[in-house]
Amino acid sequence: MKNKVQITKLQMITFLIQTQIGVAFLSLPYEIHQIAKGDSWISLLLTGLFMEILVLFYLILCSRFPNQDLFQILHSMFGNAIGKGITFLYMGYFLFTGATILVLFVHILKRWMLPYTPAWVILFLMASVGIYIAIDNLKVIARFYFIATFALLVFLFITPVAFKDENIHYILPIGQSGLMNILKGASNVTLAWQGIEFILLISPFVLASGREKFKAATLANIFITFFYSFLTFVCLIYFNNEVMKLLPQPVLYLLKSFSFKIIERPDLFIISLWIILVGTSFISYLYGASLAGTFLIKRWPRKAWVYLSAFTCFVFALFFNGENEIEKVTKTATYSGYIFFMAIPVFLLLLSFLFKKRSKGEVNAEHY
Amino acid sequence: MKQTSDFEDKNGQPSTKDVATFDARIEYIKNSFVNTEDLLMLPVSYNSRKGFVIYIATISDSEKIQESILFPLIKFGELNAADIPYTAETQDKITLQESVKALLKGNAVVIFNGLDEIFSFNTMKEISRNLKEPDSEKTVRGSHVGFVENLSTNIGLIRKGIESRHLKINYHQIGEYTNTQIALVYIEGICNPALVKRLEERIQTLSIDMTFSPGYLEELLEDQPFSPFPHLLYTERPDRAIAQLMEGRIILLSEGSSDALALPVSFFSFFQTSDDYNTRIITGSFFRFLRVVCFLLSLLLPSLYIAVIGFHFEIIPKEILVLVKSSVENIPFPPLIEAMVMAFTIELIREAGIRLPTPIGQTIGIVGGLIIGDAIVSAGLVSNIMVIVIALTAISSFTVASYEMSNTVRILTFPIMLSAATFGFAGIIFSLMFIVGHLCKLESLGTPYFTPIAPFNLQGMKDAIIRFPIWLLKDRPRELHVKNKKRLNQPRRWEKNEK
Repeated sequence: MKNKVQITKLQMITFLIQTQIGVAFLSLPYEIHQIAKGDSWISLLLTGLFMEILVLFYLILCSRFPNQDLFQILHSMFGNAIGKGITFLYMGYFLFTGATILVLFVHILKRWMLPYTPAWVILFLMASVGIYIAIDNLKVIARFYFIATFALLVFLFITPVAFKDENIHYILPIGQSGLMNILKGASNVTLAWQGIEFILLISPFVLASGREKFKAATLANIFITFFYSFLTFVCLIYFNNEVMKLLPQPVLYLLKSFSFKIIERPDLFIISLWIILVGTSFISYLYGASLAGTFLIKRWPRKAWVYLSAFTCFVFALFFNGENEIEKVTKTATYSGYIFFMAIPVFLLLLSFLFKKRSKGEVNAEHY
Repeated sequence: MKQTSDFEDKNGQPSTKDVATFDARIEYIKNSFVNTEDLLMLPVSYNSRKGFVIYIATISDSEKIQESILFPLIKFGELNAADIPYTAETQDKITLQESVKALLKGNAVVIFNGLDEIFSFNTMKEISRNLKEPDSEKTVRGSHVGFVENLSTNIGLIRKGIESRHLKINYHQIGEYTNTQIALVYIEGICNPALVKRLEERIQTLSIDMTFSPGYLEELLEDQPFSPFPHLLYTERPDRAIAQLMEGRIILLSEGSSDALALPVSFFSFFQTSDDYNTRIITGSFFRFLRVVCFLLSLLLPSLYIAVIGFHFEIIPKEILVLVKSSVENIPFPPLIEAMVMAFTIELIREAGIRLPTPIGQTIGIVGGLIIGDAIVSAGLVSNIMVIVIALTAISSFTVASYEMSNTVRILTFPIMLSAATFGFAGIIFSLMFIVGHLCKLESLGTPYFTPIAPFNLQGMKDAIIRFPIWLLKDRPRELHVKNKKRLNQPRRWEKNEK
């Protein structure tokens, strides 16, 4: 393997951050506020903690199969037929998530920025950017994600402007909504962490020891958790309970209310940067789906699978972007997430302990 | 002589015997050069043996022929290359076939009746101009010497700058007809040998009838010819070439061209100038930063303006709104057409002025810039603000240190303007994603193009967007995988001593 594709730890961190922070976070404070009210930010911290346990599970699994990605692990655990079956399901899951991203993206973009542009044009643009970058190897994707991370920092720098009009009483007393609601809220926003399963896909290509990979994944998770909690916190102390119920994208409303001397509507700039974040998540799912595809039919190059995946997502998003369907699609995505990034990997880990399975195989890098 | 040349094969002559005689040899050379009229044959005789001094008049120096051939013939009565000290490349005893090649290089060949040996002397005419400062890369401080069109002079300039026995030069011939000599210059012990090997393999497999400019070489050797971004750095300055060599890059020089090509280079190499290092740290950094900002400005300014006017009017604060409105209100065209017309006019002025003699070029600039700019606004075709925007864009595109890169920026502005006019800010972001994605994909000779940003490299950032103090630039660029990584060990050691 002369040209084996490898990425650095830093690239792994930015890859995970970019994959997970995507379309959902603009409406995240609204979603969670419906359940956990003023304590939403605590819920998010709890979810982050829970995800950290998941990260630990993932990396134990990875260290038992250091040179294999998820699909190869499935293959060596369950044999050819079942392994390929589950891989196929994963491909479906990646495609579905990619399509969900597109659906939500078009929905928000049409509402905030391009009300008169037909949906298919926006979808087409996103799909073509997705193809252009996902078609290349992991190294190129990781490089792109690193640059995209700068867009994320803008959010962190611009939202604290809200502190000048804050009212801390909105979130007091802490614990007002009760432990049950906090926990329920925590379990409801796992969609925002979707993408964490990519640890299992990219781990064999990271130039680091298992311990370092764990550190990197943890750092990414900490960043994401604090990013979400911070944004939600800012929204909570800026808008009161009644207002929060009316704002489906509180982060954007928050930014809309600011005005600077030279820019009257910073939200328009911010939503443009958000397009990049959505793009990176979408690219990841295209990459994941195409990876699964190449594992299923080895004769087809990954390129073909990227085209196919992008086309599938495009068509799906074209037909299911009505108001009612969006809710259904989001729900399904959340539930399928439970299965695919929680249940199956944990189950895999347990099985590997049970049957004392470990890998000896070499990573198959020809397609990447 | 067992070899046969193409010429003989074609005529099917039984070569060896015929060519062996004196007359046949003369005939052979004459025929080889298709009886061209600048092939001169000077009859000489020595020891009553008849002979000829043969040379091509247009590329040989007649003074050298006199000094190195005719004088010794008279003085010693015998022709011996060893007696002639000042012709370094003198060879004696070459084959008939080699003599043709020697003649083409400007050598003189001497053949005697009854002697088997053919003598060849270096009598090449030096066709070269004086060293002067290159017009395309002027600097305020530092060296003002530029490369010329002579390969050996250029290599000499580099050798003068790097007095090291590790400086290595590999010659190659390209072009089946032109036989252009190119030189691959690198420093053994710094440069990554894998890069050299890869480049040499590429050069050796080139098969083309001619090359007259480094543009040919660039297009034949680079990885992605269709990319809008330049992959090779042109420089006419020996000091810049030397700096590139010292960083572990390879320099390509070719005969007849005053440009050196440095490779593999990264995106930020195009923003560096030798002046950055000749000015103080803070000013140098400021200039570098200015160039990078100007790059972004010229890439995005017109499209931002188009997007704001066409889509996001609400982004403009009230105070400025009145100004913009009064300027844009009566313009009959959409902002895209305005911008396209103006940007196109700027390109016209540039293209019209570039090849004209300087005084006329200036006139064009005045007519184009002042008269058209003023008239187009007072005629009400283009708004005031659009003229300002496009003029700023053009000027900032020219601040980019490399001519190639500034062309790239101006070309890229057009598609971004188009997408901004169609999708507003979203269009700008999508086109930026394509461009950045493309930059991430690019690799030149296997080294990533957009480093030190992606893949990120903290050491490399020291010389990218701003220039760090020279004593902090300790390592050579990491992406080149150089053999000798450390650039300096203890600069400013005197600080310790003086404490």
